[in-house]
Amino acid sequence: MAEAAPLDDGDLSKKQAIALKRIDQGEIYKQEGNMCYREKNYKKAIGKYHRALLQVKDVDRQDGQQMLKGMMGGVSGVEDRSCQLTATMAERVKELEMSCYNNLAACLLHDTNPNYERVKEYCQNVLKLDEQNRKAWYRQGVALYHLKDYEEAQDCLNRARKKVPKDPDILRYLNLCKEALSKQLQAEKHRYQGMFQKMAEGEEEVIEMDDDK
Amino acid sequence: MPNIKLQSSDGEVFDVDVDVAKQSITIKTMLEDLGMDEDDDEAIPLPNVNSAILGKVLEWCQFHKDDPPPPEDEENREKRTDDLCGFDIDFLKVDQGTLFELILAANYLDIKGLLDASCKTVANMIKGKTPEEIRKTFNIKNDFTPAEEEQVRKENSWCEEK
Amino acid sequence: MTLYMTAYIACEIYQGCNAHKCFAVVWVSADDLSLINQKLPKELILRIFSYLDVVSLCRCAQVSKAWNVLALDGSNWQRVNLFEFQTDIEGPVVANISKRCGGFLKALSLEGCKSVTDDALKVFAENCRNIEELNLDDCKSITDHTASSLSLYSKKLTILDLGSCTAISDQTLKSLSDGCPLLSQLNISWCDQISDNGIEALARGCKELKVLRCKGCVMLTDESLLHLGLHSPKLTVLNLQACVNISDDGMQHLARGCENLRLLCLSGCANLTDRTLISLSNHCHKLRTLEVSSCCQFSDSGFQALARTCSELRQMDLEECVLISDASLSHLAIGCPKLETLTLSHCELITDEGIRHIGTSACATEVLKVIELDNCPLITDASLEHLMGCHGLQRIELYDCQLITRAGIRRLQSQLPTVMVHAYFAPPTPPTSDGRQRPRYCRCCSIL
Repeated sequence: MAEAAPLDDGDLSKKQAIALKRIDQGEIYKQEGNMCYREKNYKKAIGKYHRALLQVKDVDRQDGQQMLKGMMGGVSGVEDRSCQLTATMAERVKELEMSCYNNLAACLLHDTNPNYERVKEYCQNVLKLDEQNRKAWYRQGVALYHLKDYEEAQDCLNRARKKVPKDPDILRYLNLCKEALSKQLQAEKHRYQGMFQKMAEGEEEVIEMDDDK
Repeated sequence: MPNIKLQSSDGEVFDVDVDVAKQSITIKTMLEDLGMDEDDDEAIPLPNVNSAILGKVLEWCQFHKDDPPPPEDEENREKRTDDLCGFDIDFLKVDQGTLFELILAANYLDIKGLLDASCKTVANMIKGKTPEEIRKTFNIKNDFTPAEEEQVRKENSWCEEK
Repeated sequence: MTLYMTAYIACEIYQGCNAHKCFAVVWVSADDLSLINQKLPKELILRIFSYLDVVSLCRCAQVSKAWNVLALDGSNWQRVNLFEFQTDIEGPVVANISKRCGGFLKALSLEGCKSVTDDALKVFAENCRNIEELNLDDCKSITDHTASSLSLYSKKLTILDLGSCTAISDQTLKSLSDGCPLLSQLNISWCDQISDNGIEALARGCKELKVLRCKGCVMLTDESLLHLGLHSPKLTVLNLQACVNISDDGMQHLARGCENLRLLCLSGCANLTDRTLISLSNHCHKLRTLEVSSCCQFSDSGFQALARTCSELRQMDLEECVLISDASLSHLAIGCPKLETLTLSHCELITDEGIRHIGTSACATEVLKVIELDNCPLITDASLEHLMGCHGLQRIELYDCQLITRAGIRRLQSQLPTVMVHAYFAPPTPPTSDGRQRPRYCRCCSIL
């Protein structure tokens, strides 16, 4: 890993300069998204976060040709698309992707009818990059609760709680999960009881029929 | 039909029918998150795709916009490469540089149909050729030493014994 | 070999570096002018390679060092079919593939590779421990040693084809029962050394067995069926064609224990009588396909019982069940509304009345697709009239039905224009004096 990122930000190739520009632009979009989020303009924020992600997606194999022409006076011959990021740049990309996905999940949860599957997907994207991310665990727990996967939801919320044991939101959702689970259990019991009852009744009917004969 | 604006890496803005752009799962996901309408007039920059390629990609999307969604199952994907439709065959009769750019763009924008068709086209350029012919086709330098080359030839000769 | 090893190590390193996609390693040297290498990252070249066959991959491996690593990447070697190589394939090839694929290989077909040996398959089993599907059909050279290798290493094996591997014995089945607990589909057709002992071991050890094909295993007796009935409740497909020594007693045990049977072939088991059909009707209500050609003791009362309970039947082959009459057809017409294919070839007692039942049955209007009536000498054009309401009919066989006329067929075709009719009519006049014989080819509807 160390070998793969030999260069410092001080000594950049042309391609790395372009990559850096894209990362900068991505961070600007993210900041704008955060502004929108604070102003409760979630839709606009979503647009910004997606734009930020598009800036850094595949940034290590950029379309150099056209941008170079404008910026650096063009390249001749065959262009190599691959671009080696410096360790600092790679770290910034990772941070940016993480916060964008996390914030997207937050935005989606503000929707009147949230797409919980998508929230779950974005949280998983975050957790793939940072397994300790408290917010992602919490939001994934919320999504799973609404997707009626109560046991998994409980698990996620408990992981979130490890960091902040007294967070009221986490505790509220943990309680909701508990209630839902016990309701489920009750319903199941009820169903089985009904089944046994029916079976018992069925037997009685048979006996009655025998009597008729 | 509502439109969205896509901006290529070199700054050109394409006004695109939402139904056409939705072939790209990346764009589709974004539109879904936004509630299917991007009321924002601000274009969406796609810094990994230049205007020439984006134009081609959108041409492909326009033709295929009524296709059923491709099957999800990656694992059992069939290996056949002779099932390209007539449009795709003609569409992909381009120089290698463009072909590879299309593969990259399809991958960046997550357009499975175009990614498959373009990869199959390259696979068809490989099939039936000898190693030397493959090198020539793709301008690849043989960096084996004679001893190494003999070694790999031996290791892989079984496939020639019919 | 050294080069090969280095290639793999390089590959691992590359994967390690690529744990996060931002770390692209320098893959192409500065003087590499190849567009494909310059532009496409490794995972996309691998995607292109995923569309290549084994031969093309081996050629790509010889192009350059970078391509060698990519072409030999395990992801491209999960399913390998060497059927096209047939008899010429030598042991070293299999050994080579085994080493190349390693744990990636999930499915391998060596169908018809007659010279592949136990030794090659031992190397294979040792190297490819994640194998799930293995086809050794007609690999004549293998013996019981192959199964003992599989038993040792192939814990995930679920589908195995040993058809026509005539050198194997009961020991093979014992090995499989010891070491391959997930085995669910097995073909041992024409392995005529297999006996009841082998089947017993298999049934006891392989609890997941769902499909068993043992055509022509002539040594099998009722004891085999007893053990399958006792230990293989999941069995859904069983082919016992030409297992001539089985009888009604065995079939009774089998039917009792294997209530999930969907496909059963008993063709050529001439000892069986109506008792077999009655056992099936008592237990195997899920049967969809029943092939009993040349079970010449089956009669109307057997099929009456069967039709009463086996309403899922879709395909029935009753060729040369010479005792059955129109009564059987009337029972099937009532009891089997899903019947798609019905073969009555050489059922010489069948008349127009029987076909009338079929033609007016629940299955007739939409479901029935194929009816084979060749060599039914009593049927006439009236039968064809009865079938005119079968709108789903795709094919009808009428060879050697002497009482059928061209006019009758023409009338049927005017009603059912898409149906394929197979019939043959002798030339109207004797061959002319030039001695040239008219060809006796199949005269499809087109000629009429």
